Amino acid sequence: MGASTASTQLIFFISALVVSSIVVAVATRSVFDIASGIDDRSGIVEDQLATDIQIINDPSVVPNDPVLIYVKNVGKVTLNHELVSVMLDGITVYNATLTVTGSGSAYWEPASTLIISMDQNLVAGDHTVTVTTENGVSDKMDFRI
Amino acid sequence: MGFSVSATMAIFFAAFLTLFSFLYSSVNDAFDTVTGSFEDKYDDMSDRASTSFDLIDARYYRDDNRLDIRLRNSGGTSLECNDTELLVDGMLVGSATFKVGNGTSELWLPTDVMTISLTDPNITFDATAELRQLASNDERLSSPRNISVGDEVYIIDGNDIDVFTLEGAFDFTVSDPTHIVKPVDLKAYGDYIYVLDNATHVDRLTSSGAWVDAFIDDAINTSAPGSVAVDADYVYLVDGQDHVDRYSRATGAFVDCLIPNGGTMSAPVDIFVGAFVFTTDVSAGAYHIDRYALDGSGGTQIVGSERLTSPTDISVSPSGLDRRFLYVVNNSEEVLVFDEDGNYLDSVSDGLSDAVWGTDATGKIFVSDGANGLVVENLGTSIKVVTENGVSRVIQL
Repeated sequence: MGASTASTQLIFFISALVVSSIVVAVATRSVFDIASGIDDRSGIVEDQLATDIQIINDPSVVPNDPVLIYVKNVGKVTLNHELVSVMLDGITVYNATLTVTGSGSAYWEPASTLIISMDQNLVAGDHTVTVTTENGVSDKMDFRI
Repeated sequence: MGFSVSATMAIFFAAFLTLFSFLYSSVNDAFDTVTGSFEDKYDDMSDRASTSFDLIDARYYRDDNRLDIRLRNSGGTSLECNDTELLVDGMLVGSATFKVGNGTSELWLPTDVMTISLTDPNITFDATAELRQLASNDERLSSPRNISVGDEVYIIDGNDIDVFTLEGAFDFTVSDPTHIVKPVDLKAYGDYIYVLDNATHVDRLTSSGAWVDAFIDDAINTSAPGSVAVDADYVYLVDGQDHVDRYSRATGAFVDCLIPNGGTMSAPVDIFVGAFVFTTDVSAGAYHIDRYALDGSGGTQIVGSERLTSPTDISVSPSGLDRRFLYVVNNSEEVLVFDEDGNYLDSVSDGLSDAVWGTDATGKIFVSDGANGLVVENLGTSIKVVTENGVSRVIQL
C-alpha cells in the first residue's frame, strides 16, 4: 500500500510538471508573438509618423501632356519610390515614370523630390492627384488645367 | 498530491513573472518608440509653423539672361538652402543656384538673405490686368518718352532722364544740360546708359547717371540718327539716310552700314535688337515691322499695317530666352504683343491712358505713359519657391 501510494504520487507529480511545462511553453510562445507584434506595430507607427510627403506643384500651372507631378520628401525616412502609388482623378496610374532628383541615391531621400511623369493629356478643368508612399502616407492636390 | 500542486503553482508563478516582465519590457519599449515619434512629429510641425520667408525682389538681368530672386528668412527655423526647390511656370528647375551671403554657408539662418539665381529662366507672356501695378509716380514725369530698363528704369522726360527702381519707385533725375542737350532715345546695357542726344551723337552715362563721354559722334557715316539699339557687341543707329549703321560697343568705332536703304527698308523710325534686328518702318504713310538676321540679311516684313497705327516704340524679349515676344506701343493707347514671327498674341490696354509712348520688357513690361507715369506690368510668369520642409511661396513676375 505504501509503495503504491508513493508511486501514484510520483506519477501525479511528474504529470503535473509535464502539463504545467506544456502550458508555460504555449503561453511563452503566445507572449513572444504578442511582444513581437507590438514591436512590429510600434515600428510601423514610428515609420508612418516620420514619413511625410508634399506635392509641391503650383496648382494653377501643372504641366500637361505629359502630366508632371513633383512630390517632396519632407519627412525623416528614406522611401522606395518604386513602391509609390499614384491616383489621377480617382484612377490608379500604372505607367507613370518616377525619377528622384536632388541626390545621387536610387532611393527617395529626405528633402529630395520625386518627379512623377504620366503620359496623359488632361482635358481643361479641375483634376485631383493623390500620391501614396509604401507605408500608407499620402498627399493630395486639386489642380486646374 | 499537495506537493504536486505546489510544484505546478511554483512553475506557473515563475513563468508568469518571467513572461510578464518580458511583455512589460516590450510594451514599454514600444510606448517609448511611439512617444518619441510623436515628439519628433510635433517638433517637425513646430519647425514648419515657424518657417516663413519674404520676397525682397525678383529681378531679370537682360545682359546675362539671369533671374535673381532674393528672399529673407523671416521665420525662426534654420533651413538648408540647397534643399530648396524652384518652380518656374509650373516646371521644376534643376539648374538654379541657391546662395546665402557670400556662398560659404549652406545654412539659411533666420534674417539671412538667400539669392536664387537662374540662367535662361524662360520668362513667358501671360499678362492680365489684375496683375498690373500702377506706380504712383506720375508727378515725377511731365512728358515721358522713350524708356529702357537695366538695373533700374530710365525714362526720357523732357531734356532730363528720370530713374526709377524696378518696382516703380522714383529714384533720381539725371539733368546735365552741358552734355545732354535733347535726349531722343536711350538704351541701358551693361555698365552704361547709351543716350542718343540731339539727334547727332550717342553719349555714355554710368548707371548712376554720371556722364562718361560722347561715345559715337560720326556725322559722315551716321547723320541725324533717330533711334539707338545695343547688344553685347554693337551699337546700332537708325540714321537720316534711312539705313542702320553699326558701331563697336567696345570702341565706338564705325563698323559698317548693316542694312542699307531699299528693299524691305523704307524709312525706319525705331529699332530694337535681340535675337534678330527689328525695325518699325513706314512706307507711303503705312507702318510695318520688319525683321532681319543679326548680319543684316533676310529682311522680311512680319507685321503689316493692318495691325499698326502710329507705333511709337518697339521692344523685344532678351535674346537669351527660349520664348521671345515683341512688344509694340500702338496708337498711343496700347501695347501689342506678337511672337518673333509677327503672329499677334494679345494687347495690353487696361489701365493705360491714351498718351502711352514707350515700352521695354525684361522680367516685366515697363510702359511710359503720359498720364499714368511709369506702369509696371507683370508678365504672369509664376515662380514657386519651396523650402526643405515644404513651406512655399508663389511669386508672379
